[in-house]
Amino acid sequence: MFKNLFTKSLYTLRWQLFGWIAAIMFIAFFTMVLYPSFSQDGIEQIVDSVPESMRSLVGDVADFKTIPGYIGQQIFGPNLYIVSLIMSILIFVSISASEEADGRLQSLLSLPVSRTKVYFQKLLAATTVVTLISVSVIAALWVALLIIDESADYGRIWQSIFAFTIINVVYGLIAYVAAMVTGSKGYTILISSGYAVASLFITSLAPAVDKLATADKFSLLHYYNNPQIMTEGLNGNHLLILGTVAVVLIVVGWYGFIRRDVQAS
Amino acid sequence: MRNQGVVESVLVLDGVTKSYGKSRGIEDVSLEITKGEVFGFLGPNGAGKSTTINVILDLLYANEGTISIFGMDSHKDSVDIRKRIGYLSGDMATDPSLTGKQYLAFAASVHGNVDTQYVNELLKRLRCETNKKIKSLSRGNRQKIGLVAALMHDPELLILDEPTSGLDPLVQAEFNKIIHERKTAGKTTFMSSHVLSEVQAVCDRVGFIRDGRLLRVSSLEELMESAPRRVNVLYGAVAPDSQLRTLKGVSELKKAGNRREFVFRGKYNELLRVLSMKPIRDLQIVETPLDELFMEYYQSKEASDV
Repeated sequence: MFKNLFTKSLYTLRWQLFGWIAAIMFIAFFTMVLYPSFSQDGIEQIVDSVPESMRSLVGDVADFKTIPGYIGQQIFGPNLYIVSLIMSILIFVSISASEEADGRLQSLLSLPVSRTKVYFQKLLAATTVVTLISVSVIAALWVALLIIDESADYGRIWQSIFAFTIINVVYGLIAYVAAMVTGSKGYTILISSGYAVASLFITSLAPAVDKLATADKFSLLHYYNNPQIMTEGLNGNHLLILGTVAVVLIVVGWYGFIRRDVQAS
Repeated sequence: MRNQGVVESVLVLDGVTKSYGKSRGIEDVSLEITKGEVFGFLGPNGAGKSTTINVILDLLYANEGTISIFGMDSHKDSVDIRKRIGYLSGDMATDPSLTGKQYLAFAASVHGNVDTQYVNELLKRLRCETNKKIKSLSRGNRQKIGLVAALMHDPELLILDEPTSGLDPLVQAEFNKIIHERKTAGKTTFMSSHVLSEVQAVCDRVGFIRDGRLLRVSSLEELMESAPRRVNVLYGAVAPDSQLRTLKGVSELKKAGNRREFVFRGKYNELLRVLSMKPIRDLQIVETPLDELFMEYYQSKEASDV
C-alpha cells in the first residue's frame, strides 16, 4: 500500500485534505453565490460608511459590481486566504514539528532512509495536499457561477488559483522550515503564525499608511494578487520573488535538518 | 579492537561525548560489542541510556568521539548501517491512524527484501493484533508491533531501548526466546532495560551507566562471581561462631537459635571448611539477584561520591 514515505505521508494527511477541501470549497461557493446581492447598489452605501483611511481594506466598490473584480476581491482576497494560510501552516506543522514532538520522526529515522529523503518526501506530500486544497476552489466557483447564471474568464481564474496555491505553499514552507531547522513545535508555530499575522497586518494597512511601505516589501502577501490577477493577469516579477523565496526556504530547511539533532523521546 | 582477528566487533564507541548545551548527556563513553553478543545496558532514569542509543542511531550527533558499526562510520554511513539494524524504543511511536498491518507494510517497503513468512511467524509468536488501528492498541500491543518491525528483516544488530515495557509474561518469555535464537544464529543485541530479571535471562555482558558515564562493563558471569552470596545455615546443635566471625569475607552475621545467616564474598573452600566444623542440618547459599546488585552498586557509588 505504501511504496514510499510520500504515499504514507499523503495517507496520513488524508482527513486534513478532505476536511480542508470541504471548508475552502464551502467558503468559495457561498461567497460566489452571494455575488448578485453584492452587485446591487446597497453595497455602495456600506462602503461609503467606511472611513476614507480604511477604504483600502475593503477595496474599490466598483470591484464588487463586476464578476472579475468580485472574484479577485472576495474569492482570492483576505476572506479566503486568511483561512487558507492557517490551513497551510497547520498541514506543514502536522507533518513536521508534530511528528517530531510525539516521537514519530525518531521511529522513521531509525529505518534505512536518509534525512534528505525524509525532508523532501514530506515536503512533497504537504505541498501536494495544499495544492489540491487550493485548486478545489475552481470546482466551487464553477458550480456557483452555474447557479447564479454568470460566466467568467477561466484563464484568469486558473492564474489566480496558481498564485493562490503559491502563496499558501510559501507560508506553509515557512512553518516547515522553522520545524525542520529548530525541531520545536512551539517555535515553529510562533515563527510561522507570527510572520503570517504580521504580514497580513502590514499588507492590509500599507496602502493607507505610508510608513508601512518599506515593511510591506518584506511581507510575502504584498506579492500576491497585487495588482488583482483577475483584471491585470499574473505579475511575473512577483511570482519570481515568491518562487525565489520558496527555493531559499527549502534549501535553508534541508541544510538545517541534516545538521541537527532529532528530538528523541 | 579486542581480540582482533578472533572476535568480530559489531559496535564500537570510542570516547563518545554528547552534551545538550550546558546540560549533560553522556561523557567519554567507550564500549565494544562483538558479534553474537547480547549486551545489557543498565542505569537509572536519566543516566544516559537513551542518549547513548540515539547517538548510535545517528539521531543525535556526538560532540566528541567516534562510533563504528559493522566497521562503518555511524554518521557517514548511517543509511547503510540502518539497513542492518533493527530498533525499538521504549514507547513505539508511529502514525496512530495506521493499522498494525499498514505500519508493518510500510516498514517492510523501506527495508526491502523482507521475508513475509518470517514476519507472519513473528506475528504469531508475539500474538500481535494487526488489523486494529495503532491508536486503539494498548502500549503492550503497540510494542509487539514495534518488535516485529524491528525484527522483520532479521537484523545483524538489534538495538532495544527498554523494549518489554507493557508486555505480558507469555510474550516476555517468547521475546527472551527470540533473543536466544538470534544469539545462536550469531546476531547481536544491544538492549537497555530496567527489567533486571530480563537482562539476567538473556544478556552475556552488562554495562552500568550513571550520570552519563559508563561505570563498569563486565560479563554476567564475572558479575555474579564477584557478587556476594547469602548463606543460611542451620546447625544441629552448636555453631562454629568464633570461626565464622573470623572467616575472611563474612559480613552481616545474624544469629537466630541454631540458624546462622550472613553475606559471604570470599573463597568457597574456606567457607565449606569452616561450615563443616559442626554438624549441619540445612544449608542454602543463594546468589544475589541482579536487582540487589544493581542497587548495591549504585548506592555504593553514590556513597563514595559523597
